[in-house]
Amino acid sequence: MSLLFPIQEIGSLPKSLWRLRALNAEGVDDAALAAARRDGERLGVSGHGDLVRLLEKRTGFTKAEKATIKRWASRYSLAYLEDKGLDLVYDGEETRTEMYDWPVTHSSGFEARGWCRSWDHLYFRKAAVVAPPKANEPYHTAEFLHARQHARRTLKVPVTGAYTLMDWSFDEHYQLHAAGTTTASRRAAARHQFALDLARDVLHPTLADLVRNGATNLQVDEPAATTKPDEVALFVESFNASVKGLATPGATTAPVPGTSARASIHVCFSDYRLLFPHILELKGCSEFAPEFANKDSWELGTSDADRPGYRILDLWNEYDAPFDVGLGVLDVHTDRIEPPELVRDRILHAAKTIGAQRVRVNPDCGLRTRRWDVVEAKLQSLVAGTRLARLAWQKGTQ
Amino acid sequence: MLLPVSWQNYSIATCSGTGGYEGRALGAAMPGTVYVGGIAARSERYMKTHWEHAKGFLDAAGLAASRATEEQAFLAAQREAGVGPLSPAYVAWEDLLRPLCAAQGAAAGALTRFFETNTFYRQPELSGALAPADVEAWSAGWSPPPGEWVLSLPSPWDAAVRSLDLKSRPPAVLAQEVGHHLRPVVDWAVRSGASLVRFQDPSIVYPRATARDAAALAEGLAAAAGPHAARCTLHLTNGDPFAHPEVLQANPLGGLSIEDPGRAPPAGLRLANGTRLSCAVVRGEESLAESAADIASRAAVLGQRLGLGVWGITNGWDLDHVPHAIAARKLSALGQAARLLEVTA
Repeated sequence: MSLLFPIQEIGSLPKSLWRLRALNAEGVDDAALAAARRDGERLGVSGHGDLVRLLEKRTGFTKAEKATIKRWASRYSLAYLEDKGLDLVYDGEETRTEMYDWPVTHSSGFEARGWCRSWDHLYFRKAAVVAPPKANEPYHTAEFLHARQHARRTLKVPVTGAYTLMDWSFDEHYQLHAAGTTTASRRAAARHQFALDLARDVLHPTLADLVRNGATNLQVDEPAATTKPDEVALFVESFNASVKGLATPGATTAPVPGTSARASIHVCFSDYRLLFPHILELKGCSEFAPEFANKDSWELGTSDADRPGYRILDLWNEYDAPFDVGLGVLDVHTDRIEPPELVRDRILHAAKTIGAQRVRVNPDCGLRTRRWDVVEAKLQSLVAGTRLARLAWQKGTQ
Repeated sequence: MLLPVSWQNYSIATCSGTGGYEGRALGAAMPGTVYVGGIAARSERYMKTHWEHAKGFLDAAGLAASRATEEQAFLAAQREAGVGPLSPAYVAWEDLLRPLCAAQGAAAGALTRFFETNTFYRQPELSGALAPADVEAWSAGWSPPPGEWVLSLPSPWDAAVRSLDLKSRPPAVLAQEVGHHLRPVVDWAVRSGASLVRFQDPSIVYPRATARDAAALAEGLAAAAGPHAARCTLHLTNGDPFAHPEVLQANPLGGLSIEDPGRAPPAGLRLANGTRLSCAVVRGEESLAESAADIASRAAVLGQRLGLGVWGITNGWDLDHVPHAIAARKLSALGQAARLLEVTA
């Protein structure tokens, strides 16, 4: 992709009111119905009248109808991101339950244990591994094919990584069977085996099937990558096993079966210094996308002092890291809206630090925790700010 | 389920190679207190209302009513399990440091990972001197349980090192300040019947701690506890307490609560006579529920390792790290351990 500072999605979007209400007991009210009609018209979603007619049932949707509604939500989110002006898009992960729950419930070897808090009002359903895991099916292919059918821009498919699936699960199997002379060594051996089993038997078949079906951009989400500093090398090893034979740095064109895709890694909530030098051992990773904006100042400016949240970019130079950067320029954990000029300055600072051709622009993370009005304002700022940055860079006025 | 053996005669068979206690009877290490501390696991019913409130589907009164139900349910669960003194569920606290963020001179800052977990907290941002706490900020959303009860608070040291101080004051200074800030809460709790105040510290023995100052920890705790030090406990988690004997020895409080590191304490470790030892042997971060026998034997081993009587048995990590159903099983096992001890005490 030769476009300067391409803008890309990085994760899930909030669920639409009509999707939420149709899938829950409340049923579709007038406001939800109006939103489906209004947004369908505004975004140019062809055939959206069929959705509106389905939603007019209001309640009591069958399982098949609920699946249809989720696919409509996928189309709306895809159209929404394209309408906002993003260059690489996906469907907001509308057909999935959640980034951990979806792969786990589509694999054997896990049993749900209940809901745990992640922070504040956000919870996730946590499972325990009770036997070696195995994907029941390539669990993202159907959603990808549906998205490809309707997308007008390049698709980038987010897939939760093996290390994160391991780290977010209770272990009720491996620790009972691991070898070792101490509690710590048995625990380490258990986690190592668990992560590599996930990479081989869950991630790899899922990613391979996406590539076989034409996916050109894979994003492996590893928010847990640095959770345990002693295990960063395991995260790297599990990624390499997950994409072995599938991904080639720099590959951006549509593959046919047997060719390769471009793989990136998204990490968040981490001490990114811990990644180095381990990530230099990544095989097949084209891009690294950590969070930046949530540690940054809100003042304008492009100097190092102005941009404390972006200091980790220095590590790219220090270690001669070969990856492009997915540059987070929106803090997804606040409703405060970044002005376009702030987005611009963050991009220009990054371009000066590591080179403009290595910078792709995105929110720090998925925007699903924000209200739609906040998402709207933030994405508008993202696109407007990137355009300002392109102009400034091309004019050499940065 | 009570064990078909008497407590006095229950031999320890699970601590081989950790200090030579194999086959010893538990003897006189009789705990009198079996309790839970920290933030409780939330029910799915409460989670739903919490989420609905955040999304605008439920008003503040609805959420408050849901919290009240949750608090009552947790008290009922503790009574049914047979543990006590009772602990509030602290449902209103999104994390243990969140009430601090309501103080004058503080604000809720960036979402920050809670050590090596997939749980996050808002890092307190301190912009000025902390005033003594407004008790209402800490007690909003819950009430002291009837009778004797347990108050859980962050240790001043933990709050200091996990906060962002915009004036770059050293943690030792902040710990003192947080200690003075917490003092009115402790005073109020004692007046309200609290028999135990548990200062939780997952920071000071954390292996990768970037700052560790036992003296500052002690000064902060002393400032917070004031004249109530005897009924306060330092609760250490998230690391090997025996790796930092200076921390254990600096504890100015009447109680010490630690997890079992699975090894003998360092030679020369001296704890004050009369230290009330709580054995934090229920693992709040693991899904596998301990048996009552396991809880009892682990507690006894830990007490013997330290040469102290076991005053209490409790949970290590807060139970909100596991789903509600698993927390309930752990609570039940704790209660079974309590009854096992009553049989033989």
